Formats: sequence, structure tokens, C-alpha cells
Amino acid sequence: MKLTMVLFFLAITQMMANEAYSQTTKMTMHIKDVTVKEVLNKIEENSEFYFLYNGKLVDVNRRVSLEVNDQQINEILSTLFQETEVCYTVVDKQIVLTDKANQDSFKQLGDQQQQLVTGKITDASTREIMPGVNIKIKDTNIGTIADAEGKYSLSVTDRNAILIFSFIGYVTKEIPIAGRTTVDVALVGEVKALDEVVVVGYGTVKKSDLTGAVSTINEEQLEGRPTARTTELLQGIAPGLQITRQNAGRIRGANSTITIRGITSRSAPGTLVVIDGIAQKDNNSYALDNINPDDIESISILKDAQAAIYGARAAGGVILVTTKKGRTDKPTINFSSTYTIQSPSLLRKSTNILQLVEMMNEGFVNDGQLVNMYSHIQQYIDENNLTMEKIRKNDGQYMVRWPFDNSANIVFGHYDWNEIMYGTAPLKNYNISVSGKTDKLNYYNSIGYVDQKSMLNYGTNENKRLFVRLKNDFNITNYLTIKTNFGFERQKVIEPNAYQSVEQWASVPWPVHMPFTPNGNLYNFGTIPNLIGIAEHSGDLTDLYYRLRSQLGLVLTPFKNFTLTGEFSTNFDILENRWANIGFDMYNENDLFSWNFNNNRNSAGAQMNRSRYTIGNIYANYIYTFLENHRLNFMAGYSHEEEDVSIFSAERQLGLISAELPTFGLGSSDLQFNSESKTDRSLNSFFSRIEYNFMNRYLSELTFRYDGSSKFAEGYKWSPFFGISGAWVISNEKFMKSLTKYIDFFKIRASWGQLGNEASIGLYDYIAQINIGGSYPMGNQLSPVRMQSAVLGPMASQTRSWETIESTNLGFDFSTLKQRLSGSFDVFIKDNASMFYISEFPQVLGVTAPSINGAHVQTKGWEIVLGWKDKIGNLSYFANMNLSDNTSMVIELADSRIPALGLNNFVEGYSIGSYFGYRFDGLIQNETELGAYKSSFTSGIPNNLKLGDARFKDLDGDGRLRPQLYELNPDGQPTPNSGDIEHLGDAGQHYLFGINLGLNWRNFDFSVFFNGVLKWEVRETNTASVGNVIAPLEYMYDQRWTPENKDGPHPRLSQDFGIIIYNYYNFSDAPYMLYDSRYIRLKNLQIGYTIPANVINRINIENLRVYFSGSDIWELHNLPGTQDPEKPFTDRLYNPLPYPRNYSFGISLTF
Amino acid sequence: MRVMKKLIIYLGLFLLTGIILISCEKDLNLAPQDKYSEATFFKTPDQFKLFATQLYSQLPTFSGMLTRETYSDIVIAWSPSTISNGSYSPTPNSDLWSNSYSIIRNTTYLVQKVETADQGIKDQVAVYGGEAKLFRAMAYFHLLRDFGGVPIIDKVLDLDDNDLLYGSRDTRESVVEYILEDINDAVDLLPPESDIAANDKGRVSKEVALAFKARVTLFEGTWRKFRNQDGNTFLDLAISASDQVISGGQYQLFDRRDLLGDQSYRYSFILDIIQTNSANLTKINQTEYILSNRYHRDIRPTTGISAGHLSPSATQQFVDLFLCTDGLPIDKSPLFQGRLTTTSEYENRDLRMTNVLQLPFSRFWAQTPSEYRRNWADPDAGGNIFDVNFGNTTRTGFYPVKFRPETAPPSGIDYPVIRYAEVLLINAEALYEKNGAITDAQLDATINKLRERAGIPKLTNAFATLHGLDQRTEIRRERTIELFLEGFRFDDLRRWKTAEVEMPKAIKGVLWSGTEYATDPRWSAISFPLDTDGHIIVEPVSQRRFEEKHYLMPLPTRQIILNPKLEQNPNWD
Repeated sequence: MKLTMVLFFLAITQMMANEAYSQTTKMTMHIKDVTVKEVLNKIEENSEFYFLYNGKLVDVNRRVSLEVNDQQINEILSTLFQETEVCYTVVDKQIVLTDKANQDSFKQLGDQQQQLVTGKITDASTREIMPGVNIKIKDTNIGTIADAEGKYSLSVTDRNAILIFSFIGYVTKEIPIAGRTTVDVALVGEVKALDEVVVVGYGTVKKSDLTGAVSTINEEQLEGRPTARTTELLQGIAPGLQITRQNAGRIRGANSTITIRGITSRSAPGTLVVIDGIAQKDNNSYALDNINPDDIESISILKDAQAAIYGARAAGGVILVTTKKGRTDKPTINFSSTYTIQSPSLLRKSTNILQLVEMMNEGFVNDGQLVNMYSHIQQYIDENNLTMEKIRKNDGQYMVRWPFDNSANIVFGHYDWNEIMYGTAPLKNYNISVSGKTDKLNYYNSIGYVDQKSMLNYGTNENKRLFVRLKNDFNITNYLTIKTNFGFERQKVIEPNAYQSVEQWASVPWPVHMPFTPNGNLYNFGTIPNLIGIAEHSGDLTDLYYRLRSQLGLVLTPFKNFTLTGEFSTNFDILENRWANIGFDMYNENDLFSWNFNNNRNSAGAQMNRSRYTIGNIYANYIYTFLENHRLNFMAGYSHEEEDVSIFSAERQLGLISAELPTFGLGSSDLQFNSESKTDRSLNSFFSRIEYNFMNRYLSELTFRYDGSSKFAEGYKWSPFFGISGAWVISNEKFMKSLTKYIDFFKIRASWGQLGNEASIGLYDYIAQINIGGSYPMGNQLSPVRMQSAVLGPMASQTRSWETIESTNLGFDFSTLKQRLSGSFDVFIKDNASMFYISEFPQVLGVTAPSINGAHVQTKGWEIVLGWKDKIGNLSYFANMNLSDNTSMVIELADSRIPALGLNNFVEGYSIGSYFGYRFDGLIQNETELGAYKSSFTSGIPNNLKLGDARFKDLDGDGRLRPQLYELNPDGQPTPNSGDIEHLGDAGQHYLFGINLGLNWRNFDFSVFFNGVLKWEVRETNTASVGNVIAPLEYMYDQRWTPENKDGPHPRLSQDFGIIIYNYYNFSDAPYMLYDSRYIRLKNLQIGYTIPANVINRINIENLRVYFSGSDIWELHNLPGTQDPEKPFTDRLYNPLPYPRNYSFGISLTF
Repeated sequence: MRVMKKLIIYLGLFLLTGIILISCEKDLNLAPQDKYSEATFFKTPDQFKLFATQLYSQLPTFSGMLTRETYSDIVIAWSPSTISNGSYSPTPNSDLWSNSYSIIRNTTYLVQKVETADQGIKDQVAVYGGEAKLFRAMAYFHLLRDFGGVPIIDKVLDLDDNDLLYGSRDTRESVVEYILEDINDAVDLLPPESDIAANDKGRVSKEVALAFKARVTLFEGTWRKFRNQDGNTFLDLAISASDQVISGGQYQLFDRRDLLGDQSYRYSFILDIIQTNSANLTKINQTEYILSNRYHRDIRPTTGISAGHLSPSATQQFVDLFLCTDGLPIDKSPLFQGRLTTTSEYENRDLRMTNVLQLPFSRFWAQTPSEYRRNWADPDAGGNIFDVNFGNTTRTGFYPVKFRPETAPPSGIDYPVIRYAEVLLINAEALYEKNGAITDAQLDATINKLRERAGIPKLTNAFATLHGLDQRTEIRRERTIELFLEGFRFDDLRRWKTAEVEMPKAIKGVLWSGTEYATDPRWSAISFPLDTDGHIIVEPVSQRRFEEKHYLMPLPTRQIILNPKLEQNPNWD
């Protein structure tokens, strides 16, 4: 073969002292069929390069052809040796060829050829030096940190390398060294907070362009807080957002009440939740809880007229959730897992048996019943000198008759049933997601799994949830995008069928009941069943949910600036509920059979719920720019949503063939029951919005909506809703330029808008209905006919229409001190003049009056958000806080509802939720006081008052204590109708706050998040009273009035219904029943460590963080006893759940 | 390329339209799918029947009547009744008031629907108009009984019917008249018991209406008589109505001493569909109930009067009413065995005494778990011994067991709203009050039947004269004993106008001084306040009062605030 050299041309395009020869030298070669050796020789001849290689390792006789035009030596060599084992290392003009196996040894040769790059880093705007900046060579593990003077030095081998400069709060910058030895950099501060894109109704907007009050929560604020429910993450995080947890600590039925900016409707419209542009069917926390918290990218909360674009269902505000999407070209695989220990705490502390008997007996004795159902126990205790020391031995030595019936004895011992029934339980979360993007596809697909055990120690209990999300956006062409977003969830909750009884009763049994008899049988507690028995042997309740969220979107851009969007979503919710109620035997202390729970009447049943919720939106968007700086954005659309729900249930009572196979099909067919329910609703809406933006300084927005609902009568179905808002970015004005040094951003906002509500009212209230139900035995007594009844429903609400809530907001946003300090302030009024209301009519009407638009309530409030972030050396830190308050007043009611004793929700002129009561005048301390008090009244007080009972003031001085409002004439005299009750306080929470502090130091991060309430009147609902099976709470032992404890804040103990309950006499909302509750709670504490990149990059891991997170682990409050200050004084009979503190260990891994 | 773009855009638009179309299955006009609307109902007789059936589940209940009994002087609850001891004040709301007017609306509505029913079914549905009127009369009677005159609402009210909504009270007289009109209509419209179809047994009949009429007229007749008004018209009505029921022969007193022995009476009140007595008699053997609130252990279970330990205790005053087996009161009878032992005063007494009260140290069964009756073959199996545990099972030493099932729950015993025994008592009392005397034949036809069942000799005029007995006292005694725990006593005392005498008395329990209670070590640890005779005092005189105003209950104050024209009863302000 002949060597043919067509052309060889070498060009040195640029030659500068500090740039590498290899980078500035470019060559053009056109060669065909020559040996490698010849090529190398040619290069050596025509340039200053020289080659070093071992002929045994490098096959230089291989024949090649080469076509390169004006290329650097690296590129030529990579073409030359492609698909061979040959590696090359270019060290300035010297080129080493080797095989792969020996490359490392030559690398070291290269290392010796390193070059030092130095430089100084400054802030682009202030030109101040910046210490602590991270410098890294791209695609390597090599890096350094700038010193206190902002200087750095770094050895590089590849003069072609790219340096990455990063610092928190600044835009990361990549700069090629390009052969230089000095690389100075000016970093630009991140204006992320204001450039952030915020999702608003049917579109997005830059945060700086917002005209309404919107809070946003980003991924970082949600990260690392493992929970089974999304809503828990939002508590305290945004001002004006009040979240009250219900049944925290329960694996079934835990939910939250979400209130944005106070109550403005009696019907509690709830909060509309919109996920990826699709309104969810439930206006409550379930809508949020049914989404995997790990899939959430950001949350926007629309609090004012900004929500008006969602008019129909937005009266309670809107929470917009955006799920994650692909961000990088490179596929990102993210894995995270946490292991959480749920620890029961704040358990109610009941009195011990000695205190219990003493208090109960004292109550009777105080009433004059010296011989009572407790006296024999007290006597037994006294005779045997029982002390807690003896009792705690649990040796069964002392025994006395049970006070209520003959079904059990008191075997003296000490058992804390809360401690017995509850213990720590694990919660495990796993998530894996794959995401990324290409020109044609943006994908985020994830699987999440939650495995939770209940804190209940006994019985089967588990909550398993599997989440799948498949989110893929296809850019079919540059004018058509198809978006798909499927969410699938399967949840299975198994608990003892009577778990609620266990919860209710765990605080109820006396602290003497032993779990098991000496022979290990379930011990009989008396009238309530053995709790361990219920949990373990009374059958299970299984809920199996399938939730399918399918979403399909189409974005069409037929021409520039015009998009047409169609979205369609159907949610299917299927719940399969199965239960069995099985009996079990209990025994007395002598192991004799006592009774069977259920009396062997085992039964089983199932319920199937199916709901379909469909929503379709179609809207067009057109952006029109004119005269350069004027930008108009038109949007108009139509939406339709509908829901239908069908439920049927079946059960068979008795005769289950076996308790081991509790399937209702195996029950008695004589006693089978079934029922069915079917409902539907629909909503049609037209909506439009015009945005106008002039030079990013003047922003305004107009919205209009026209909504129709199936819940109103013909002629009342449709209602229009308007909204207008504007903002002025003062900091963009020319006259502010001189102040830019101090103020980075300043914007004032104003908005007004109407929000509709039709939630929480009956679906067909405008039709007078006849309900069929019930079962009355007629006919033959031995085999009766089960006769149903027809019952007339409430009066039809024929003229009722939409509630329209007018929301007015005024606020400003600012950022200053080089963006270290930022914040916003808002004041608002929400006015509902057409609230749904049921007027009170004289009861001779004989039926519930219809609900009408008959009340006017108004909420006024304010919100402050402040944030600070800065860095000191290696340490960067932030502090964010929010504080808000609002009060809802009843302005006017269709009737003149008169306050009654106790808590009143709606009284004209008072805040929603007001306590009314008599004015407390101290406890009666002696006979003189007793006589004087009794003789000062002719009526209204019980005639059997005793020392230690309460005294109340006869405000109107008529000698009667009357539960009617104390009212004065203009001349200062009590009116003829005046009674003696007055406004005692307002049951609303005030001054809600959240504080978030965090810091990062090297690879460590630490953050704490507190929330709380500064003012809140709460009422004690438990009393140490009425001799029933409930043990009083321990703290009440010292609080009661006795002749020896005259300073006791609570009245004497009594078992007399008249004193305790009748007219609420001793326990009306007197000061000793009301507490000004304020609290602070540590919602979350997190310590994380990110494994240094140079350790993990070797194993191809991009990011690895391990952390500890504690949720709800500490609180401070001023209430007596053990209380959850978020839900103080919950009645022990109804919600005595232990409070869960969660301690989690987590790992987050990104490939 | 341009063509392609156009095509895709059209395709996109087509899909967008599709999105709206496929999501839209329902328009805004939706109607309930599992409920009737008022407009579509009342088309068939069965629908009228369904509507009338709701009234039955609102009949008086065990617990309601037991509570009413605690208002009186013959039982005392664990927490004393403020109505009984007179310490109560007007309350803002009253369930009696609101429930009654709810029934009044529903019944008036049904009457109106019957009147406007299609001609084709008018005859078939007339009976439901009768049922409605009877239940409406009951509602008004319950209001009258407690409050006196109340507003008469004679139409289905609308929200703008201000003259009625905010009207004043009608007089007692017009309410009574209104009630009687309704009852008379019901008597005409309702079928006789014998004509009621097998599947409709349990529904009200002509006899029920008559028996109720007798109750109402006796109440009003005596109420007026003892307030110096003329009550004779009503007493005559009471006599004739009760006579009609008696002569109809549809009902007999339950008396199965042949099978159940001396405890027959006790078991007659707890008949069920399962075995509840040694002879295995069931509900179908109950021939005495004229109208009952029906229960069924599977369909509509009840607890009867359960949890006996916390149930009210009977007072000594009640216990002393029981005659000795010679027909004489304890203060006159040589058979009275005194009170030396816990059981001595139960000896030689009216059988009902040990049927409605538990004999000390005898075995009883109850619905508390360890006390179920499990074995009918062995009368000594299970249950518990009533050991007169003061403070624990009884406050007075007397322990009522009437209406108390002995078997494991659930229970399906019926509550007798009106039973034949009451009709007999009404007849006797009305005759006596009307005529000032009662003949031996009349006594034989009425209370002597009850006395016979209770194992005590006939009351005759000669017997009364011989022993210095007062006929009125004996008739009232019979009534109080027979209708114990059925909620009559408080109303009886008020209509007889003897409440001011009986109610302020101390509530007493067993004799303590000089008896086994005082000497036996079982009770040595406890001590009671005692009266001069040595009886235990459960509630002293000082804590009890009954004034003139207490003869009527106060109206719920909230209603007066809402409607100032509604006048409160005298002295209740």
C-alpha cells in the first residue's frame, strides 16, 4: 500500500504566554491509509509536540486514515485512537501514549506537570471579597474553598478544565481555565426568591409579578420530614394557614382541618386543593393526604382575590400543589428511605385508685349521701391501711366489691391502661423516582411505600400505602404537547374492629383492672370489656382503598403567544371495607367464666364505596405585547366537574359458622341486611382573566367567573364572581435607582375579589325530601314484619344561592440589605354577607327551618413574614418567621340569635365562637357567705348549694340568675329583658406563628421549626364528677375545693347532677374553666450530613445525605395536666388518643 | 410540513373538544336517586302507611317513663331528681316541647295529605288520617299534662305564618277540646282490633283510641274536679270510653300463675321471643297490652330497664302501700309481720310486692354480664343474691326489678304504653269520682280483677266499711301499685292535687332502728341519718318542696325569648 499524504497544514491560531500550547495549536490533516507511526512522526515534524510511547504497548503499525480540519491535538488523538486500548496524556507539548492498564502510572507523570491556578472571588454587585466560596474542577473530585480574603489556589493538570464556583445564595458559575493561571470571578447573587415561578390558577407567574397574597412552599421546606400524611407538613409553615390535626396518632381516620385566614362561613367551605392544575373533589385534607409527600415539588397557597379565578370552590382559599418533574438531561434516580419511631406521649394521667375513691366518695358525702356506692371501698381502704406501696405490688391480696354492679370485684393493684395499650411503633417510608428530560420528553416516575404500625400494642394493626406516579410530558412537536400524569394508590388499613372502643376506653378503666387472670385468661373489667380482648379477639376491620388519579393534558400552540390548553382528569376512589364482630370470653379473678363480649352474637359485613370524580378544563391564553413595554395576557376558559358516589353495604348478624372465617356469606341468612346510597353533583364554570404588565412596574389583573351548581334551585344556580388586583413595583422606578443600594425590591399590592361557596351543604336541599329508613316490628310478634318509616326532611331551601365572600387585601413585599432580609406584610378583610344560615324559629314550627343566605360575617386580619439569610465564613444560616392573626365577627343575622350560656357560635356583634357565662364571684367559703348568697336570689340558683360551690353575680340586680345577656338601656339601667350572662372570651386562636431556623456548615445541615399560638381561650371539659366508671384526671385531685383546701380553684366535688350539670351551674364557663392557652411546639428538628462528593463520586453517586429528624418532640404550654396544647381538654370519652412523637432516621440518595 | 402542522393542530382541537365532551355526563339539574321528593310521594296507600309508621318509634320508652317516675315520691334515683325535690328552675330548652311540635307538624301534614289524596285511594288511606290524629292527640296531651294550655298549631306552618309562629298560648280548655276532637275522629276512622290484618298488628286500633280517650278524660276530669271546676263531663267520657274497651273483650289481664307460680306478674313484663321464663311463654301470650312500643331483639333491641344497680330505688312510702293478704293495709292487718328482719315486711303481702321488688337474700338475674340467666332448668344457677347492699345496689333498701330482663342482651321486650290494667283502673276511679261511690259490681269488674291476680281478697263496700277503709284511697292505692315504674305517679299526684302534701315529705328507706339492719354485722360499718321512727332518711324534708307553681312545669325559656307572646306559667319567672 502506498502512503498518500494529500495535505498537512498546521496553524497556530493564537499564542499567549499563559495559555497551553495544546489548546492554541490547531491542525488540519487529510491522510489516507498510513501507519500510526507515520502520523505521529508527521505531527512531530510539523509542530512542537513530541511523543513518548512503548512500542510493545502501542500498536504503531496500525493503518489509519484521518480527515481533520482545524482541530486541537486532543481531538486529533481521540479520533486516531478511537476504538483502541491506547490512551494518551497531553502535558503541554509532551504527549504520552500508553495502554489503559498502565495509564495510572503515567497519570502521575502528568501530575508532576500540574499547574497552579489562583484567583480572587468577589460579589458582582458590591465588589466585596467573598470568602468560603466552593471551587471545584468539573467532573473531578478536586476542589478547594476560598480563604478569608476571597482568594483560592488550585493545582490543575488539564489546562482545559472547567472550574465551578458555588456559594449559597449565589448563582453557580462555570468558567473554563483555558490555560490561564489566574481566574478571577465575580459571583452574582441569586434572586431566586423573587424570580421563582409561582403556580397560580390556570397558569404561572413570576413571584415578583404577583398581585395577590400567595404563600409558597418549596421542596426544601418539605424535605426530610417523614410522615404518613402530607397535611402535617404544612402546619405552621405559612402565615394565615391554620391546620388542626384530628386524631393525630391514629392510623385510620387521621386528618386535619385546614383553615386559611379564619372562618368566614358557617358551613366551613374547606380549602380547595388543586394538584397539577386539577381541582380535587374533596375540599379538605384528604385531597392533600392522598398524594405522596415525596412527589411534591412546590405548594402555593392563594389567600386573597388571587383565588378568585377558582371562584366556585375557592371561598376557603386554594392550595395549589405541583408535583416534581424532570430537571436534567441526565436521568436522575432518587432513592430515599426513613425509619421512624412513633412514640406515644402526653398520655392522660388518671388518679390512682386511692385518689379516685377518695374523690368519688367525697362527692357523695358533700351531697349528704354518707352511704354511697363508694363508701364501702373507702372503708375497706381505711381498714386495711392500703397505701399505693401495697397496691403497686399487684399481688391480688386485697379485694372489695365493685361499686356499680356485681359483675366484678376490685382487686387492688395498679395498672395504667394507657401505658399497657400503647407503645412505640415503626413507620417506614421508601421512595424511588426516576426523572429527567430530553427535547421530546419530560418524565418523573416514582414509587413510594409507607408501612406504618399503630401505637396500639395489641391486635392486628397496620397501614400500608403504595403510591405510584407516572408523569410524562411529550413535546410531540413544537406546537403540541401532551401531558400525562397518573397517580395510583393502594392503601390497606387493618385494625381491631372495635379500635375506637379501645381508644375511648383506654383512659376510662380504673387503674386497678388487671389484664389477665392468674390462669392467663382475659380478666373481666366489669361493664366494659377487657381492652386487650377487644384489640386481639373481637375481629378486624379492614379498609382497602384504591385511588386512581388520571390526568391528561393537551397544550396546543397554533401560533406564537397563543396557547390552548385542555385538561381532563378522572379520579376513581374505591373503598372496600370489611368487618367482623367476634365475641370473646372474660373471666373473674378466680378464673370463673364471667361473660362473653357480644354474647356470642358474632356478625360480619362489608361496605363498598365507589366514587367517580371527573373534571375537564379548557382554556386559551394569549400574550400580546405592544409599544415594547406593555404586556397583556388574556385567558379564558370553561370547566365542568361532576361527581357521583355509590355505596352499598351488606351484613349478616349472628350465626357465623366460625369466628376464624368471618365472612358475612357464612352468617345467618335470616338476619341479613343491606343498604344503598347514591348521590351526585355537578358544577359548570366559565372563567377569564386579563393581566396587564407595564415595564414590570405596574401590574394588574382582572378576573371574572360565572359558576353554576347543581346544589341550588332553578333560577339560583348561577352566580358571577369578579376580582381585580394590582401591584406596583416601586423599586423598579427610576426615582428609586439611588436607593437600590439599600432596597433591592419593594412592591405594594392591592386586591379585591369575590369567592363563591357551595360546599358543605346538602346536594339536593332545594327539594323537599322524604327519607325512608328505620325498622319497626309489626305484625306477628314472633316473626314480625320489618316496617320501614317515611320521614319528612327539613324544609327545602328554595331561594338559597351561592355564598359570595368578598376578599380585600393590601400588602407589600420587600427585600433589602443585599437580599439578606426579605419579607412581606398583608392586611385583609374577608366579608361574607350571604352566609348560609338556619334562622332560629319558635319550635312550634315543628321542623328544621331551611338554610338561607341569612348571615353576614367578616374576618379581619394581618400577616407578617420575615426572612433573613446570611453567611459567616463556612457557615451559612437562615431564619424565617411568620406571624398572623385574624378575628371573625358576626355582623348581622337574619334572626336575632340570643346568646345562651356556654359556647355560642353565632351571636350578632360578637366573634364567631364566643363564650358567654355568668360573672364568677368566688367560691362560697363559709356559712355566712352561703346564707347571704342564697338569700340574694329568688330564682335561678339550685336550692341545695353548699360550701365550695360557685357564686355568680346578679348583674342586673333583679334577684334572679338568668341565662340571658346582661343588657343596659341608654340610661345605664338594665333592660327589662336583661339577664346575667356576659361575654367571657373568644374561642378563636390568635397570633399564630411559625419560626424556621437553619444553618449549614461544611457538610452538615441543621434546622428547627417551631409553631404555636400566643392567645387562645380554651375550656376545660372534663370534670371530677358523677360517680361513673371514668377515673378523674390526676391534676384535678389538688384543684378541688375542700374545707382544708379553700384556695382550690375548682368547686367542691359533687355527684349531684343539679350542681354539676343542671344549668351548668358549677361548671358554666367560669374563669376556672377557661384557660388562656398559648403554646410553642417544636414541629421539626433536623440534623443532616451530606457525604462529601469526593467520597461518593467514585461509586457513581451524585448526592448522599443521611439525617435525623424529630417531629413534634417538644412543647411548652400553660395548661394543667398532660395536654396536647393543639387539642387541649379533649373529652376523654371521645378523643383520648396518645400523642405521637416521631423520631426518624433517613437517607436520601441521588444517582 | 405546513400540511402536517395544520393536521396536528386540527387533531389537537378535536381532542380538546373531546376532553370537555367526555367529562360531561351530568348537567346541573340533578335529583336525589335514593330518596323520594315530596312531590313524588303520597301516591300509593303503602306510602301513606310508611309515613304513619314513623310515629310508632316515638312512643314512650322504658327509660323515658322511668325518668318520669323519678319525678315522684315513690322512687329515688342515684342523683336526686330536681323535679321531685322541687329545686329546678326553668330550662332554656325542653325536648318534650320540641318533640311534641315535631310530631304535631308531621301528623298535621299526614292528615292534610290524606284529605287531598287521589279519589282512587282516599278510602284506603283514611285509616292513616286516623292514626295521625290519634298521635297528634297524644302529642298535645303530653304538652297539656306538663304545661297546661299551649299554642294550637292546626296547619303545616310556613315561615311566614307569623300569627301562629309568634302567637300566644291557647287555653287549657281549647287544647282539651282539640285533643278530644282528634280522638273522636280517630275512634271513627280506626278499625277495631279484630279487623286489623295479621301483618298490621301493632298498629293503633279503635280500642287504642278509646283507651287513650279514657286516660285523657280521667286526667282532665279529676284535674278540674280538684280545682273546684266541673269535671263530670270528662269523667262520664272516661267511664264510657273505658266501658267500651272492657266490653269489647279484646284484652285480658295476664295471669299465668298456673304455669309461673307467684312470680307470674314479674315475668309478664319481660316476655320476649326467646325463653324468658320457666314455662317458655313468649310475647304472643301477652294479652294485656293495648298499645305497646314494640321492640325485637334483632330488629329493634331495647335494654328494658337495665343496670339495676344504678336504677332508682323504691321508697318506704311506696312499699307501705302493698296490702296484706287479708286485704288490709299494714297498719290494720294482723298479718303484717313487722320489719325486724330484712324480709319480714315482705311476708303475707300483695304478690306484686315480691314481683316488682326483689326479696332480700333471694336470687335475681339481670343484664349485667355475670348475672345473665343461663340455665332455666336450675333456678339456683347464675345470677346473684340481693344482699341489700346500701350505696351499691339500693339507696333505700328496696330494689325494683319490674321490666328488667334476666337474659343476656339484646332484649326485645315491649313497653306497654297502654295496658288493660290501666283501663280497669280508669273505669273504677272515674266511676268513684263521678258518683262519689262505687258499687261492688263495678269493683268486681275493675280493680278486684287486679286484686285477685295479686292474691288479695276483693274490695267490697262492706269490707271497706268494716275496716274503716276509704274507697278513694283504696282505688288510688291500687293504681299506684299496679302502674309502678310506668310514669303515672307524678301526674296522678298533680291531678289529685295531693302533690303539695305528698311530695314535700322526706324520702325514706327501710326501718333501721331495732332491726336486723342495725344489729347484723353486715351493715355495721354504715350509718344513716334516721327519722324519729328509725327509718333511714334518703332525702330530708328540708331539701324537698312542692309549691303551687310546681303543678305546672315552666315553659322552655328560649321559646319565650323568641316569642314574647308566649306567657310563662305562673311564678316560674
